[in-house]
Amino acid sequence: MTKYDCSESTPATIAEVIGSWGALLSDAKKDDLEEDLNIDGQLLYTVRNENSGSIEAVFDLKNILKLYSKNLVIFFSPEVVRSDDGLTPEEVKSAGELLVAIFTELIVLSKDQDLKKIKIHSHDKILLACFSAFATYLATKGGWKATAYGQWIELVEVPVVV
Amino acid sequence: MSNKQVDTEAVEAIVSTLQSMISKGVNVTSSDMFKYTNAYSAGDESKELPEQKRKAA
Repeated sequence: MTKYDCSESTPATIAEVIGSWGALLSDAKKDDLEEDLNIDGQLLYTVRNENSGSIEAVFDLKNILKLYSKNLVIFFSPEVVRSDDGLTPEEVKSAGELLVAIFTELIVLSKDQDLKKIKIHSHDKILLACFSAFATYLATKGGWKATAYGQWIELVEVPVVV
Repeated sequence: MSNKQVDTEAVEAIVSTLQSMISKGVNVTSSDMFKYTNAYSAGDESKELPEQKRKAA
């Protein structure tokens, strides 16, 4: 199983993303990437594969109104999916591992801020479905209550009954 | 910053969700998450150019 390092972005890591991902993209898509990584109010994190050393995903966790409410945006590296004809089983697994690394980081960040609740918003139905699966998994394991409504999924930490 | 191995069961839950959507015909790569992975099929340039860039990188 791959190990990932999630870190708040720096100008150097953003430049690394634009350089390494951009080398694999058309000029128009590289321009889009630069635009997507330079939006006011972003709180960007990079996810580095510790085996390969490459940055495989970037995510943005912009706060919405409250500290516990976040708009989540994720972009995968062009290296994560190499085929342009759907996803291979290996690519589905890689995407799954990256998503779990990102979602786990959300939990770690909310605990660092002493938050007992995290609300994730996204316009992306596929991303929401994946986060819903993760939230349901946490709720099944115990210690969390998961609720989904509209484009939001809420996770609330609950006392574990021993 | 956190640095850890991902939870295998959580990965299985998400992989199962993605596979279920794929089997139902959902185009999961339409997600913004894959905006830069399927860029070379977006039609804004020939498919060959980004592939050549990929090989050169």
